[in-house]
Amino acid sequence: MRVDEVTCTGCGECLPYCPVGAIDMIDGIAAADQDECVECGVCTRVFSCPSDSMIQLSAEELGFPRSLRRYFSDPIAVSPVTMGAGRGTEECKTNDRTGRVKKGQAGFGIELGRPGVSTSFVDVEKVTKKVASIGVEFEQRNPIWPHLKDPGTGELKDEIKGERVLSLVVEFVTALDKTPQVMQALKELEQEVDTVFTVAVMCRVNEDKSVPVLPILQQMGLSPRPNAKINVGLGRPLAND
Amino acid sequence: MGGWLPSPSTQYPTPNTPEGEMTHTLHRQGSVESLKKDYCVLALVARQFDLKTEESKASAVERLRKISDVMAGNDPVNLGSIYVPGTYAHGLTSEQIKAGLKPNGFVLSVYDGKEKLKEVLSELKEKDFGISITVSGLIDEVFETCEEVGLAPHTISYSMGVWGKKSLLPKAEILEITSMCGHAMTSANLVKKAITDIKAGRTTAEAAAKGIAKPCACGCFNTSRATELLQQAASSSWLTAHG
Repeated sequence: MRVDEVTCTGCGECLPYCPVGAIDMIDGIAAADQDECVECGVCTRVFSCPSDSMIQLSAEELGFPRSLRRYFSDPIAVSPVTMGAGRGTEECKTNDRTGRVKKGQAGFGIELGRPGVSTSFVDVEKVTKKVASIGVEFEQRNPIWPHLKDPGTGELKDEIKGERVLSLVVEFVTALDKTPQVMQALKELEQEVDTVFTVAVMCRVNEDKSVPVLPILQQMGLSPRPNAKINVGLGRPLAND
Repeated sequence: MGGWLPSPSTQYPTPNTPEGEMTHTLHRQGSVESLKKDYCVLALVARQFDLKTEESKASAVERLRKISDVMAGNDPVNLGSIYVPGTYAHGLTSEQIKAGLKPNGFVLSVYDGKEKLKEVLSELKEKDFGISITVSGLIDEVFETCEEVGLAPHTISYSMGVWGKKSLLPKAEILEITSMCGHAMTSANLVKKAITDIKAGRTTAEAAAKGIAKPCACGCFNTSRATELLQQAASSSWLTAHG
């Protein structure tokens, strides 16, 4: 996003709307820090600038690779690569239909930059490389997939590493018994990344309502938060697994 | 606060896509007592199966519209869908939202208590639309509700919380509000401004909650819970100055 410095009156009303605090007043007018701005579009879609000075270019106008900021940050921007909007996938939300996370597996959704901090792709690559070394299976429908240079190593393509997005979900599945290795890797990553990340751990629910991944997490001294996302099994036909 | 509804030039995409959107109602912050007033119910089409033919797409959107009716009929706090320009919280009616649903989208509603959740799930089970339904909320209460209405939870996504450089995060009281927009479109500074405005008598907590809900494009922001949290924040002294 850019501010028209000729028409901006310097009222400053736009500043609090920016999720990453990229807009500031410089010499009496608003200006967006182009390194920090993630092109999410909130300042033009939600805020009505009294002087109509906010200019949000479309992804096509921004051009690659800056367009990635828009695809990963604006929830209504549809990527021409994945043909989907958003930063992740259907994950557990349709797992009763798709069976992506099967019995005996754990699924992971590591969302870098969330909540409200943003992330560079340099930090994203730290995560993809670390978990790739464990031998995880990346979700191919995830919008980061086309930007992996080598899914085996988790290395990202060089041309995107200068970009920054509001958040991005790295998704993968492993065998249940690899869960401790993944969680240990995430503990190490806490010290290595210059951002925050949320951790989601997905698992099938047994008929007796037990969840196989739970004792594994608890054995590591890790407790899930009291609230979760639960697919209640109403999709039809159910996945075979 | 400016209007959320887009200018005529805003393009809303209607993709025919192989993948559904993230909605991210998982990592909502707050105490158990507060989360007892916050349940999100999502209906999402499995695109790889349900959007193969024109007939299946028509079936998908028809079923989403019927689910939307069920959701709207059980007194939601919010209701919306990502490709519909606006939500309940923005002032759209359930009929407007229903009319705007696309086969490749989803419909999402928020409830402020377990009893409403139970009614919705009971009706969705009875009508058996065949579309995946996900509930975000307190695990014990959601499992208990499933048991009561005869549903067997299929998959769970646990939140292990926020990791990494947490010094970059705003205060927990702010996060409780901003994390109700799963796409993180609601800024901490907007919440701080709202609290300051409530303290100064320039707005009410209810009006401020609606304003803060505007950046949320999909309808998962709980304006009722936000009203309570804003009122509590405005009554406390932890925020002494805007910014």
